[in-house]
Amino acid sequence: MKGLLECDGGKGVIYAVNPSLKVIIAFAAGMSAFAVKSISGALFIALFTIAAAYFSGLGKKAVSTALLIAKISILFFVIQLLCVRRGNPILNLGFFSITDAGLYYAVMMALKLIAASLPLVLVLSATKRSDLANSLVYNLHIPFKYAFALTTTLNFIPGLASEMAQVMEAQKARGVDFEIKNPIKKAALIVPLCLPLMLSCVRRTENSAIAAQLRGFELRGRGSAYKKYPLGMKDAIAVLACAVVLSAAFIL
Amino acid sequence: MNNMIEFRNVSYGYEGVTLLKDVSFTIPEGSFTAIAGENGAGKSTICRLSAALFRPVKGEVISGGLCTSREKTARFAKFTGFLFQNPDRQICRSTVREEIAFGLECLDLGTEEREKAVDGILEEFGFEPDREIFSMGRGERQMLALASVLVRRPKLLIADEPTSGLDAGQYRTAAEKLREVHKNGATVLMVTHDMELAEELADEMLVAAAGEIKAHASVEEIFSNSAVMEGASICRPEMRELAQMLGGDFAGDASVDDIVNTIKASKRSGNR
Repeated sequence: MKGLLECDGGKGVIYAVNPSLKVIIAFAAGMSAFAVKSISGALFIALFTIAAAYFSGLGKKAVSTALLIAKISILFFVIQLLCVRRGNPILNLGFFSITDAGLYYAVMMALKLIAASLPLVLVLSATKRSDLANSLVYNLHIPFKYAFALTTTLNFIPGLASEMAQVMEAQKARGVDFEIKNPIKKAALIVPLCLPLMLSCVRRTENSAIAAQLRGFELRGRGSAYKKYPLGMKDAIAVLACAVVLSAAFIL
Repeated sequence: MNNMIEFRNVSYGYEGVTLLKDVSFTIPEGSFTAIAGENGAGKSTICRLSAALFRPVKGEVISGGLCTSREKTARFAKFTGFLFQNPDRQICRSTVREEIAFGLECLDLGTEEREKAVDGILEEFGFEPDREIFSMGRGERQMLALASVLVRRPKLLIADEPTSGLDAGQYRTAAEKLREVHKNGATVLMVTHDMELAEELADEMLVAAAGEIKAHASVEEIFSNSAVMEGASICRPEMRELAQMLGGDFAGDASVDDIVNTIKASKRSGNR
């Protein structure tokens, strides 16, 4: 399994949809996840996304991403749980008290975060960056330099993650002990690593910009891509399915 | 002689990709071993396993008498120096002095001892202590990475392509430093594609191909085994190749001077 946001070139449902269209669908699903007013609505969107991922061979990635977002949303869960004063108290913790309404909104917030982020992460994991850039230019008439900037930025996320892993490895070899359990001490060890990371990022950005310019970056137009991205029947079905699912999520 | 590194039926890989298959070998203490082979043969994986940066999936790696699967990486870092191919991975401070001192900070040395070691290595490499690393070229950064590894006086030095990106002068300095470290008793494990460097510095050579060790012998033996060399896409140093082609008295270990003198002598006798 490739890393988060890295496309491994599969052949499932999500891969087959037009790149620009699936990003739009993912945005629509994300917005709807925030807009729905019930736990079941948010849960429905999250489950449908996981199901679509499963049928595209991305089931494992969907579950691991959902768990990762769930870990991140723990903080929001706790804040929501402790700060909502409405409803009937379930537990009294001195200054804070946990109410049934607090618990409901905390669960909803965590689910909304998962349901809102998952579609976009999965869509980006199932779209080659070059296809996305070319399709944004071809289908949405976005100037190539903006499409290229967007996809290059997206490429940087997995790039940064792997760079960070390698920098940490080099520091481990010098005796920095990242295997300690204390998260504060661990964070203090990671801060100095930002320098080599920044250095290599700046160098890499500069090098890619120069390389792109030298290969006629500024001469590219709408028809320059060697592949065309026409919208077809499978795209219409995807839009229809998305509309049905999102409408159902609002009704639930 | 004790072994510094011991691989016992080691396999390593991830996500279904096997990088090393049932590899076993030993590196004696105080030896200088070059690892050669094609890209993707498993050379860097052997280095990382030796420094406990990777843990074997099967088998075990013993480094400095400690099993890498049972101890923390930091324990191995106390006696191991690892020079990475890309110096930017290990540089994490903004000035030369700070960068060299950083490696020593993890060694629990006293301030005075640390400062003395830093000053010594700065003088040895001729670095300006307060120079900003940002303004240094690739070769200089590689030399700085080497200095910050050597300042720790490692018992085991693992160098992954230590001369890549160096100019001729830096190349010679780096080669000299590696020779010196070895002379002072350290065990050196060096990954290289540069067979001239391997011939000059190493006593033995590990030849890796497709995640396996195809040969482990003295440099001399490896260079005279054409099947192993071809199998791992390794080219002999040019002087050896020439000597091999000339055959006769030249075959085997002949220096530039030997060949030149013999050619001159045969030319003279031909003129007469």
